Amino acid sequence: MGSQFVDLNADGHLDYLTATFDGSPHVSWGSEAGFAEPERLLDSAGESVLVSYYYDFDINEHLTTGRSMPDGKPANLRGISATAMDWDSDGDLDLLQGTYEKGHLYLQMNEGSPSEPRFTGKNVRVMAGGAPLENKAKMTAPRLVDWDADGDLDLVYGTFGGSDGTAGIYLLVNEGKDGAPSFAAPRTLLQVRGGDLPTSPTGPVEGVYPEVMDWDNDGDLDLIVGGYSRWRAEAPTLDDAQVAELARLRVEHEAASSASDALSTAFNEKFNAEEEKAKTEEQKEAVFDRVYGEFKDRLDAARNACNKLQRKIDEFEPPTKRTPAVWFFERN
Amino acid sequence: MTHLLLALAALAPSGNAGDEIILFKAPVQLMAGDAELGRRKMYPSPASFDVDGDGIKDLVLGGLSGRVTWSRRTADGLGPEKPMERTDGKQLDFNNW
Repeated sequence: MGSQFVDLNADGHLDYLTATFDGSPHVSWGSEAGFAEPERLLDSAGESVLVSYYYDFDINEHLTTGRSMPDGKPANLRGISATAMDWDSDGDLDLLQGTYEKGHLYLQMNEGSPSEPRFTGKNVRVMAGGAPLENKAKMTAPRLVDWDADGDLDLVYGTFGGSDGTAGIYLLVNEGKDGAPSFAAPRTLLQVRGGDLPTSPTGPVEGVYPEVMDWDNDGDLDLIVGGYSRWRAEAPTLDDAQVAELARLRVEHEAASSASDALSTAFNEKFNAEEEKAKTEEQKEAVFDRVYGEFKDRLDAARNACNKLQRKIDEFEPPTKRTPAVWFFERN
Repeated sequence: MTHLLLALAALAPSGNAGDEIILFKAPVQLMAGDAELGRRKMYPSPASFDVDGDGIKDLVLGGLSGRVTWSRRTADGLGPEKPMERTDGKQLDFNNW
């Protein structure tokens, strides 16, 4: 989820606008007292604003719908970010939704008033450089910022990372007029790649969520970036005794791992056999509780034994880590 | 720094033919108090916002869980990450997953 603080209902208080992996934008309305319990953003027909792919909470399933798509056809496109801007300069805020899959951006106009938004329920694809915007590395969230200080809003977005291991932050300069934004083709602000592993976290290489601001108050725009680092601590030089110890630990770990797997299999077999005899959901739950209760201590012990051995092995052979953090990129 | 391809190639503002390369410095990890900011989040997403109304923009952190935290910014740096509260005192939670 990206986040935007914006006065979506023109009541003088900033609201908290975001979208989540359920495929729809959510808003926490702001007031003098703070932020209220979030609710889903609805269109003028009273339906959830969305792109196409969404989670239906009534039936607990992922579905697709074409009701908001430009061509009316459902697609595997899930809006996971939302940001509002007055696209047509009519005084109310319109909505931009970014998709996880394929990194598209969709515009949905507000035909209401500043204080009573009425989103049309129809999306239009946002173009960049004359072509529909897309990014195979999947869009995290777009941010609106006047990057080039020409008085209009430009767009900056990050990516999760592509199949080639590269993630990035991209800038779409707004070359349009007031009330008719027109974005230029994306320019790369930052590209990061997880290739060779550093021995400590040195920067985000995946799931890159940017904020654009003058963090150090020196008059230019910096990047504050959330994301994952991939790294591996430096491996110690092992003496002969340690090499032998590592070999022994590996053998022990393999045995412990097999024992743990065998126990899991035994649990599953017994549970499945007894569950077949159960007639009601209640009886099935009771079977699970009983059989799991019977195995729990042994399952936990087997898992703990494996983990303990793995931690010892990790001391000799540091594992690859993937850790989340937030980074400051100072602009030169 | 071959492991991290900091291409950092920001082109110049429009109107300048895009021939000037702007570079960002190497990233610096942000700490929140004694802890790493965002370390307990999945997919941390920062946004600047003056949560406590002291005139300084703090950092609000979203993430995959949907539970929002924030870190207060002062002249000394960022304070410990804590839950962002709603008007009813509960943590602001967008029910993400």
